[in-house]
Amino acid sequence: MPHSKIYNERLQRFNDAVACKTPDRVPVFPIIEQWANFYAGTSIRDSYLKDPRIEYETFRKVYDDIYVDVSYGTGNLIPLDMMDDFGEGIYVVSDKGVQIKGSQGCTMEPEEYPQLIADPEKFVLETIVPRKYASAADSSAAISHWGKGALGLVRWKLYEETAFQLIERKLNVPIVCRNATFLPPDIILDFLRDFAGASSDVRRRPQEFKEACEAMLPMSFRVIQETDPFKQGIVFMPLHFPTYLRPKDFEELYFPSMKGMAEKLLASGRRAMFYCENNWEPYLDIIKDLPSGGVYCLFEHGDLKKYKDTLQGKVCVGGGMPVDLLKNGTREECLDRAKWCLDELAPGGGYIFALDMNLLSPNDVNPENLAAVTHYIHYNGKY
Amino acid sequence: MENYNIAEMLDKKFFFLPKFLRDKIRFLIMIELLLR
Repeated sequence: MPHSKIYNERLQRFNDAVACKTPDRVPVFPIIEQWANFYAGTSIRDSYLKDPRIEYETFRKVYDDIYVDVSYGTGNLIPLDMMDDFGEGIYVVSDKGVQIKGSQGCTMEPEEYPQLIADPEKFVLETIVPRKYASAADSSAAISHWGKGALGLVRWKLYEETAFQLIERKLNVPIVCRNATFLPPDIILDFLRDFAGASSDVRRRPQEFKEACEAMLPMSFRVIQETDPFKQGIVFMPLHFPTYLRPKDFEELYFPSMKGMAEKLLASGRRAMFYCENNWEPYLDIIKDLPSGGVYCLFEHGDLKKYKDTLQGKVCVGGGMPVDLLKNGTREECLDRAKWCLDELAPGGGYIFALDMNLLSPNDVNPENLAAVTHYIHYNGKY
Repeated sequence: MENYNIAEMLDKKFFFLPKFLRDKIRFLIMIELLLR
């Protein structure tokens, strides 16, 4: 069954902006996760585990009041059944959200870089996974976990796809972030060496760090090849490490992964969405070298006008609306900022109206302010 | 404890599936376990 006219218009609006063209209107794309459940009064646990129709009902209530052109998804990002079976409760889902118990940050010693570089998948499968999950270390028990894991993964994918279909078909809101991956430097930071280890490696083992990133890029890209055969939407990547690096180190050790991934995605007919955490002004001259026409950078902090002017026509820029202002500001102050976004960031296209941060907790924003600015942009953002 | 051959074990567990599907399952579970 074909999608509705309004669905197609919204998707086209988003696609045009990402391609750095001028759409009919400025697209509105706030990233809303568990905040939706608090707003709608639905249980996060039931929403993620019991019935996908609860996820649909949650977002129906949100989108009744908050205008969006496209959606990030439902925030149900973890195969909880599978993780529960393997992970001994590392992730706990409750009605307060999805929480992580303890830290699994440093799972690799610096002396193991040569093994990681030689064969990343083999090293992760045979060394890191058993080390990280006690249940996977005992070979007699592991096979049962892997068998259940496969079923849990399929069940989670089908559950989410059911919710996505309901949201897309009934609410006419395209879900554009169906797939995500991490860049190799962030995998090293978040999942292998932790912050202290990765920061030390950048200074003391830069060559090994660089070679590991090069070796891991095909694995990061394979995540998308395996999960996104139909090339839907845009591939989401949160960037964690860059703003803790000196620009010189960023250019040498991080940017090759960012650019390499963008090139691979574009060459395969996909598009890249980088969530650029913190302030990217020191790196702006470097990211000008990203490939054109299919990269969307959502910026958290810094001078959005400077980002837009520098990247105009090359990279689509998103952001501009601080969550802090939506939480603490008056309606007039919020609308003034929305107007500033239209006046300063929208001209020339290649701009998506977005919040600087994801909405997770109940008090992240004043809902009335969020509703006011999203409707304001939609009605006044006509090109 | 480490360096046991999970790939070989999974091949036995999922012997009835085509190889490309076994590889895919192994990769996807591995990556979920890594990226959490």
